[in-house]
Amino acid sequence: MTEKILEVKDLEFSFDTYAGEVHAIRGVSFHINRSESLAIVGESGCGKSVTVQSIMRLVPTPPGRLKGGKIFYFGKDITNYSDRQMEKLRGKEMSMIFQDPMTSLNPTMRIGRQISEGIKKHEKISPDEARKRSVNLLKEVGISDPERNIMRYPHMYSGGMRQRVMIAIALACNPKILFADEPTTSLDVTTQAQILEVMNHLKQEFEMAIVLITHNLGIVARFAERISVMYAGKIVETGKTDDIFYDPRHPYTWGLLNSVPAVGKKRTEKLPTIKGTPPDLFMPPKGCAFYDRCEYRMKVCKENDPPERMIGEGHYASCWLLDERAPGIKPYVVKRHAGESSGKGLM
Amino acid sequence: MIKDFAGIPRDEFEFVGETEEKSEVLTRPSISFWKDVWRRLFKNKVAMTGLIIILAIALFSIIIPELSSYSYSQQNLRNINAAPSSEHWFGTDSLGRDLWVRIWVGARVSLAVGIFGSIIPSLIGVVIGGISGYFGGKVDMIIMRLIDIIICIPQMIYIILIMLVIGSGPVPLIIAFAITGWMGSARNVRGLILKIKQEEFVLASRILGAPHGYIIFKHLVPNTLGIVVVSMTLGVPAAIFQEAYLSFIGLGIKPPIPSWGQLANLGTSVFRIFPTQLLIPAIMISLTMLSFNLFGDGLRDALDPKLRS
Amino acid sequence: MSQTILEVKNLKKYFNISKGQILKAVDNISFSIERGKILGMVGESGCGKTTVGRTIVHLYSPDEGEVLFNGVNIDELNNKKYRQITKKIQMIFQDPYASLDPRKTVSAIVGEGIDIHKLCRSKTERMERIYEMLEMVGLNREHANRFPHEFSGGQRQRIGIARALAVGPEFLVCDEAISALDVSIQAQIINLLIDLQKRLNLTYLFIAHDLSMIRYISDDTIVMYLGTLVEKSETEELFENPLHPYTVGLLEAVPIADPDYEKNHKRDLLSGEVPSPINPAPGCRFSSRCKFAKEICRNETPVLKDVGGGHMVACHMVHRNEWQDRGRGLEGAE
Repeated sequence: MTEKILEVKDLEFSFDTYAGEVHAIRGVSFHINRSESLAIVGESGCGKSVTVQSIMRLVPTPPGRLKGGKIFYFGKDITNYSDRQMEKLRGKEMSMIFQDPMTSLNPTMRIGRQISEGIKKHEKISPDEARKRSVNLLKEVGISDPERNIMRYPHMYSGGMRQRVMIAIALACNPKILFADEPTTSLDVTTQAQILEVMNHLKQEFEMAIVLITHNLGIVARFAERISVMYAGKIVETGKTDDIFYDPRHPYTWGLLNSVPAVGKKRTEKLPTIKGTPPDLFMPPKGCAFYDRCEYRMKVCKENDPPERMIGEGHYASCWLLDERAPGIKPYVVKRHAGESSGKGLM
Repeated sequence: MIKDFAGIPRDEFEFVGETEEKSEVLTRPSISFWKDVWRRLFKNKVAMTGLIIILAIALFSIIIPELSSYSYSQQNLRNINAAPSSEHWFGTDSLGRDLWVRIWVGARVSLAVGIFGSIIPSLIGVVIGGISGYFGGKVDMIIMRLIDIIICIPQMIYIILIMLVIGSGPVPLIIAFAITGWMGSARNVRGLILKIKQEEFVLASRILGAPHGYIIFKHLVPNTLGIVVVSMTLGVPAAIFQEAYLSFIGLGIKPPIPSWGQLANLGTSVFRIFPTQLLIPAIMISLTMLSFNLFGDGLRDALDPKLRS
Repeated sequence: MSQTILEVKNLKKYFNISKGQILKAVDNISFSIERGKILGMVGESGCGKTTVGRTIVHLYSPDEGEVLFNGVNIDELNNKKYRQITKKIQMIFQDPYASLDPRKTVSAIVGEGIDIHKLCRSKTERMERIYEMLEMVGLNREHANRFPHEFSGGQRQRIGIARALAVGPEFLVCDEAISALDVSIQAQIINLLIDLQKRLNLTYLFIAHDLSMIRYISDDTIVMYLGTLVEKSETEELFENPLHPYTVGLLEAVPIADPDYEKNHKRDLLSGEVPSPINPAPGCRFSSRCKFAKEICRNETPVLKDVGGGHMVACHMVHRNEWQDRGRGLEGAE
């Protein structure tokens, strides 16, 4: 039975800068179920990091400002929780790991202590108990010889090891949700694969939901059960992983999927691209934010922001092409690793 | 504002056509780095206050002595130690000299020593530190070790020894500062140059075949200018204070040329009876130092790219 | 017809970290590139690919070995001749934010090479050439007076390309030129690079860690590990039939944007981490992580040998054909 543990409704978040208001998040809704892995995919500036950071209340306000929307955790409205109340949630109920393990660890503190500090903040626990749990956590994240390693300092470790330590710290209190903001982007390919395995293992072991923020579609295909695609501060398509890869409905999703060169394609054929760059969020457009770059744009798209429409169970997209009044278009050609096949089409 | 989407006519759902290259257009107005710095500095009221005070003091120091009917050395033994009055706005000292004029002539001296005593050692430090950082290797090592050795002895001792040799006065004082005060600046600039030297835009320049002079003047200097100016600005209060201290102990500026430090020294001997003679130069020193500090801080904040939103 | 434009012979580049600690960044690498081709270079952190790139553009001098451009050893040229060569070899950098001087306008940046080499005789001629470069990379004339911070990452990368092209190079080293860009922008820049290569008959050394892009763009590919060249071959052959255990491990680790494939494909991942390039152990650098490693691997450094059709591998086990009976199907291991 899927239990919704986090629900975000119409979240709006802006930054007040010297040049004006930046509408970083313009109405984002999603949810995550217990023990599920959700990927939020999008490019830089789309607001995926800000979304997750604002849920964890990690964005400094000012200049950030929650403009609207609601956040529910296990059904409770935590939108207006005080800093004190949020502190009780952070680390214990929801945790986060970041992209750069080099700067996220305290260089002057031993690894073991950084882990047990996290535990002690939320639970009354004896130093011995804390040590035992730290050793266990290091084992869970795949660090060999944990008894010795808890006494070491971060600088003795490589990037991959530090990321494992970060995960161990994040897991110290058994949170129900782990937000992972580009956790493998700065790692080597082989290390990235190892870290993903660790995260998968932990998800099952600890029954933890993971929200993975990334722009790497390969990782998403390997790891995520559901995907939300973000563009210019909004979610443009959401669905199960199979839906997004094999039956995508939003032109931006098509663009993203197309930008990974298909196997066998050589440089004599040009890579399909999305022309131009994302819009400036100082003056977000009235209609669909993808209008300027969309191959399929229609008159209606310029002035009217398309509403979210249901395509199948759990599969939603916001695009005027889904409206019954819209003309039909050539179906998106699904790229499978072994070759290409035709998609299910739009109708 | 919930729109009635159902009511949109069918003909709105027609394709618009090829996307133009509109998206490569830049929407925000162009602003150069220095203009941006100036804009941010301007907004900083505290820093601007500091600047205004500095400019006011400098202006007064130039104009007031010219307008005054008294000269700084003019004695009037019949009116000694007078309290501030409409005749003598700051009163007179123990030799009957008008304190108002002496403060402003002293301002010329203190400001000149303070400013040049900061700029000149800074420039020397920039050149030495720049050479050290840019060429690296043995040159760098020798220069840095030299600095390590020199810096073991406190700067004051060097200055006192130098002044004992070349005598006192504004120019000798500036020379003494120049000889002894360049080390900190050299170290800072060396560190900066080492960092910038390996930035990719400098590497690109080298790969394009740029000779050393081109890289130094076109890339290194503009990118260190801001920080050097800030440290020069923040070095002025230190120089002013050092001058005040030296003059106070009788070494810096000797009479009859007044300086604030010297005036403070003269005022100490009569402090209990005529406090204004010490208080006024002391306040001028403090006020000027504070103003340079506030302005320098503001300048540093304006240059810091991390605060760029 | 096709001549060898660049030849790297037994290149070694070491760095002295401190007493007794030698970082062997590049340890005996040899390869060559023919005019008009694109050579892809892959490897992970510590493999030395950036050092190789920088040695080719002469930011570093080789400690041993040579870099020959059009048959000429760059390191032995006098200043004047060297300056002439700089026009022929240029580099595109990884970080679009650090590779442009923030205090300069776009026209100053793009015109830098023109100014250094005095390529244009008048101001108008200079501006015309700058505009030409900007338009060639897909930007507008109006952009010439703007500053780098006003542009996006992709646009900055284009400015960097314009700067390199302004001096009329024949050979470009693309050092992770697209790694820091968003996915959809990467495709734009790749298309631009390919277009320019065709138009201007350029040759590229394309250094990257994104294997799908390497597979798409390169004619031949070399794989580096910890300062050594472990495999070299025509690109499709490398991806279809990887031989060196490291190459196999690398390709296994790459996630594929196809959920069904990911679900059904059992991964055989490399364990452990890349060891430090400081004072490396003797023998094959990969032996510490290789499940096929035998005694000889730990003692003797394997040499790069042709195992058929120009496919070169540096691995004792492969040379002994002990590799061939793994019995694994390699359907597009990328």
